[in-house]
Amino acid sequence: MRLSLSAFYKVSSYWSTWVGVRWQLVISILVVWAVSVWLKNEYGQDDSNLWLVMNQFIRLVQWTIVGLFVISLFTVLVTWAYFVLNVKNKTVSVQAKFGDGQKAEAGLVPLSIMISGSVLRPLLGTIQARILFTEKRVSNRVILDTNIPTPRHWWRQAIKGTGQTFLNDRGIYDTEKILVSFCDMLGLVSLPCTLPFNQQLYTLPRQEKEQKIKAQPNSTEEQKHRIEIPKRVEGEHVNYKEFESGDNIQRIVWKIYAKSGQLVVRVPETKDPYASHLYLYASYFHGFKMQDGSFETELLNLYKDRVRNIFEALQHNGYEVRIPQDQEVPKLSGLSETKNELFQITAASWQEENSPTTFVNTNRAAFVCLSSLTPVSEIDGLLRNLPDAVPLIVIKLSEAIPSPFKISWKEILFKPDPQPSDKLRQPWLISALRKDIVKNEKEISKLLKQRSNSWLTNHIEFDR
Amino acid sequence: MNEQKDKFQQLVIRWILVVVPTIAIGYITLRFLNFSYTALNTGLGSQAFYFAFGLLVSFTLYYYGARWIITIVLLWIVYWLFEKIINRLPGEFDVFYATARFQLYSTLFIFGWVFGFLLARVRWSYVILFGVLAIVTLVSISNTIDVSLSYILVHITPVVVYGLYMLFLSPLLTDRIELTPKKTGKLALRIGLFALLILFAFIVTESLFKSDLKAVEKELAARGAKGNKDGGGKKDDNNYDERDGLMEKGGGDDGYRLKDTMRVNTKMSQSDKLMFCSKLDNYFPDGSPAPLYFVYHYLTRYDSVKESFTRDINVPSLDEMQVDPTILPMYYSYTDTSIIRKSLARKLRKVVEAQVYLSENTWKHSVLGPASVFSIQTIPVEKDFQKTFLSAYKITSFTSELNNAYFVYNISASPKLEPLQEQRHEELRQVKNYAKLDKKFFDYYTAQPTGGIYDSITKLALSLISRDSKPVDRVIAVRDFFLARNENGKRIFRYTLKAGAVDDPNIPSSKMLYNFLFKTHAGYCTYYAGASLFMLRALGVPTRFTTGFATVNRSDKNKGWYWFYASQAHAWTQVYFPGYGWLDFDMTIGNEDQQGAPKPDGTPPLPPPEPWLVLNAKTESINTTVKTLDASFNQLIFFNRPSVLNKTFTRSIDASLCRVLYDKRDTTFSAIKPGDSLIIVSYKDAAKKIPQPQPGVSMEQQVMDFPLPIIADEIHIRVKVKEKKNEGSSRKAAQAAEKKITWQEIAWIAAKGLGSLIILVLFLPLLYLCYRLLRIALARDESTKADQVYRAALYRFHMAGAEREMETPLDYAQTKVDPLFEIDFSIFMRLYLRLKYANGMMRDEDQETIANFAKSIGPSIRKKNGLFASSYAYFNLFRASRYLQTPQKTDYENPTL
Repeated sequence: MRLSLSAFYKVSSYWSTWVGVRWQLVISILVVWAVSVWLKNEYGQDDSNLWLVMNQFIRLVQWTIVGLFVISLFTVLVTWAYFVLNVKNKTVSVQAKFGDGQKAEAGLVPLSIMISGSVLRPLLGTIQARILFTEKRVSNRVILDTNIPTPRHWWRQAIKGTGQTFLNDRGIYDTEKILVSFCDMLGLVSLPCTLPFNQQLYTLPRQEKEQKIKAQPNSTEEQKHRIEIPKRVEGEHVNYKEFESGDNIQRIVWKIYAKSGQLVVRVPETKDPYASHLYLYASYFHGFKMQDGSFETELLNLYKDRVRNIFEALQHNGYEVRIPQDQEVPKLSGLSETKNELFQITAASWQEENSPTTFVNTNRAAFVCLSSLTPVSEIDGLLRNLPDAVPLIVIKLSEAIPSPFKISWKEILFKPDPQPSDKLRQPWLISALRKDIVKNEKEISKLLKQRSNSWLTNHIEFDR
Repeated sequence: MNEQKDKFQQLVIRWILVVVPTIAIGYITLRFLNFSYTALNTGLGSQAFYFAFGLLVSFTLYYYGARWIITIVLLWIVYWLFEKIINRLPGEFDVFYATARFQLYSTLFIFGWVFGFLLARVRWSYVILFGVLAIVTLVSISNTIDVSLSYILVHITPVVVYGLYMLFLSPLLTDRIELTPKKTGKLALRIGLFALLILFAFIVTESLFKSDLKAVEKELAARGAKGNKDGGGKKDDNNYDERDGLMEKGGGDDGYRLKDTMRVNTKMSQSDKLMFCSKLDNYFPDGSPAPLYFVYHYLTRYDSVKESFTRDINVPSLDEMQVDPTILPMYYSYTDTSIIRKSLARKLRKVVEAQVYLSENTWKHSVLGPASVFSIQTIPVEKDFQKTFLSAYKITSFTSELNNAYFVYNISASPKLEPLQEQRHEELRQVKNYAKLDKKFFDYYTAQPTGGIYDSITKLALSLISRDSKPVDRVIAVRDFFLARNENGKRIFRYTLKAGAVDDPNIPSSKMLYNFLFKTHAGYCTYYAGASLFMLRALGVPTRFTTGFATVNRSDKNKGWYWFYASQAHAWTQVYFPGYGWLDFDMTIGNEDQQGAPKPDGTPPLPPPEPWLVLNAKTESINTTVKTLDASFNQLIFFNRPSVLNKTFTRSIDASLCRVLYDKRDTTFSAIKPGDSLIIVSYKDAAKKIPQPQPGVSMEQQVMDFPLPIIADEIHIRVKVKEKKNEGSSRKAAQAAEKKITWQEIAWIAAKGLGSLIILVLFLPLLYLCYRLLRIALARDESTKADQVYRAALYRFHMAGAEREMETPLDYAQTKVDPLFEIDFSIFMRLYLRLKYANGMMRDEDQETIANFAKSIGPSIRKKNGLFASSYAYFNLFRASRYLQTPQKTDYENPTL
């Protein structure tokens, strides 16, 4: 490990969440001690009016502060002990999710955590929770400051909080535990307690500017579709329900009212039309020597973003878009179908087995997306079978991590917000993988020039 | 764009939460500094502005992640502008002032800048800020003389509160602060509660330490840090005891302490305070004035535990008069002839008179005067001088002819005086040793602790003399030790007010003395006096530590008048020579500060006219129209001779041209009331018929011959000590009673208010029910009645326990109310919905349905819940409050995220 202040701080802050004592306490005690020592040295031997008064005042302040500390620490200790007891008796449970649980994008991820059961907050203090992921990653803290009331009872049944945490990698996060810290009002200690929480949370690739890309479906399948538009239909009472306040008045069927004096409204109906599908083939094939290092992760993040955006741009055509998988991804229960597509994009990772030539079904494909990690020979092979009308896009990954020399004026004057790729910028410039990709990209670009409807690009602009 | 906006919003929140309180604390500190240091006199507003400006700009810049390059460019621009401006200024003075201002403002700006940087970038920075502010405040407090608890409280409390506030706030600042009304309200509530908690903790600790605080306040009052505003009122026996206790601690007995005047002051105004002025009738044979040191107290005993000289009134033959001049009535005198005996002097003594006029800055309860004052008489201050001088007295001293302020200086002011000094030494050489001296006396005045530092001082002293040297030569040897020069011809010892590393102890500890003698060779009067005392005592010369004032003759205009400022407070040694008594020997190296006056001397007060008669009388009757009164008396002072008559006389007094004073302040004739004790003074005046004292005639006879009426020039209404006391105590009692009543009242009002509020809140649900029923009764037509019945029903069912959640009203009626209470709520609901949404097609049977339903609500609820429970339910505030909440979720039972 590098010996640096920031590294020390990182390590200490990780462990301090476990130890419970915060720097604040240490620093406060040090300062109070230093000031009193200084005062004693400066005035202590003096028998002046000043020292007489000052001494008294210092005692007053000292004891006030000590009193505050004691109250602060006492309340936090009591509430913490109560919580630990409840955890042992398994009367508290915890839930956590990213965003609304389904469409949290990578980056600053909204995070909500809820603890149900009887939990007491320390006086003026806070209860904070962090998610502990595998590989010792810790989320930012979430202050559980919202009460969820119990029906017909004055005491709350759960506490909830929302916060943000920075999670750059698009994909699945395996959680191990939830670390609950009881923080006193002065922030002197934060007493930890862990709750088991094994669940897979995931982040989606990032959404960019909304665009539309034209594509034609190459296959037709049956599809069920629910229509929300009310239609004039007359018939039996099967499709009607009694009117209640809250229902749309426009939906009241006045004919029935005229007949029977009953207020009824029409319920929406369903219908089974036929629609076609767009197949988007996005390959995660890695044709170079896989290292599974931080470069690959960062490239994968960018590639997933692009795939998602192509996917959503294709959806604007009005057809249902499907993404065949070139690999097995874990399944999560309770995902809606459209969300499932996004989940599949985010859960995928680089693979070496399923090459684009074997993966892409050239008959069904409506759109093909590859990364520049695909060797040029593979693309060449694919292009031979792919109909000319099917667009092909190759995402240029050599520029995924910006060069360290790319600095704007604003960055000279103001420090930009740190990006996760910052650390990779220099290594990436000199890495062998980049050289290989650049070389590969040159050849791909040469190859693609011979074909219309195909691009090698990093920033997708689908105006064409 | 949105992100930018959000970031700016967060910045604004931090401005409010962090920057504004920091500016406020900066302003308070600056205010305080301005008060303590006159050098900063440039206007508080602009100072605070520059500080705030620097703070705000730097906080904002660093919040946005500014790099150092911005700071450098900015500073360069400021410097460049400044240079441009300076070059344009016309005069040298302008440049000087501009530079001085720039220095001050830029310092403040930079302070603000650094604070802003720390607050924006360093997470724990407020701890540093707190430390800096605390030290600045404490240092400036230490430069203030008039300390009191409230003073410190006022100045340090903001800093402490700021520290605690930031400590409390800092965990929140690392996160994004949401600006929803709910969260803002919560934050405000938290901060408010925290403030309350601090207050509570403070009050609790204060009450715990109350006795200590009171003791400190008492001691402060006794030391007179805030001046003796209460006057002599507190001079009762208890206080005397306390004072004796205090005497152990330090030099002063009634407030003004030597060290307070000797303190190294940044506040110049402190040391140029006029303490008193005096007319001293002591002259050389050639008629030129011969000043004498003015003694305040003798510190005779050395307390080796506290390492301090203390006053000891049980000392053998203490020639210090124990009298409080403030309790002497006007023109009354107090003489203690035993002082003359106690001075243990026979040779070369004379009686010297002096008048002392005390300003408000001086202590009043002890006598100030040249050594061995044995008589004191209070005298009035001329009207025109009363602003400067509060009181005055005349003293008579039994003074040695060998004492002289010129003799005691180490450096002679003029060569003319050196022979005089030599004469003095020659005279004193007649004293060979202390063999005949009383052993107890000798031992007392040569006592000193042994061991460590004291031994090395003794060793040093012994090295200065030969074994058989005479006492005076020993004294001269010590003096010469301090006057010695090094090989370069420079003096080894020098005078400094900044002695040693530790700032201002008044009487140096042994360690400081050691450092002074062997290392630093720099100190002020108490160092010289303390060191020479130890050296002389080590040499077997009886010595005592004397505090008082160095007298400096500055004026040729007013011969014999001397002005004493705070900077002239002094300490020196007195050495005992058998037969000659105690003689002043000042070892302090010359100090120009004490000789130059901080201000030109003022006009000496006019001497009061000589009275021929002073009556200690009691008012019998008063005629305010012609300003005459009848007074009875049996004590009088006739031509300076006090006498007590063997019977009481009553005489008419003419007060038409008279000055009337009460408690030393001018008042009018109407202030005199029958029964008052008066001091009636009549001056020697050519216009008056004044009977001359007749020797051999009894006083009573002479009084019979006094002219009638007696023309009074001054009438002093005496403040009766007893009365005053009573008054005080009764006032106290009244105050206490008043306080008690108010406290009780407040408590009562608070209790009543709280009680009625609780009752009101308890009855609110019931009142609301009444309101709902009233609305039914007041409904004009059937459709509004149906509406009111519906509302009342909802409320009543809710309070009966059937709480509606997210169901529609019809669902609620069907699934909850009807099965529970066996009532036809759903039928009513259908009717009601129809009426409401189908524009009131009222049918005949509808009215009946509504009326029946309205009537059946109460009985059905009572049937289900019972009479008691159904009425008791209306006191369930939680349930009532839930009626007003709109339910947010259908299913609370299993909450999910």
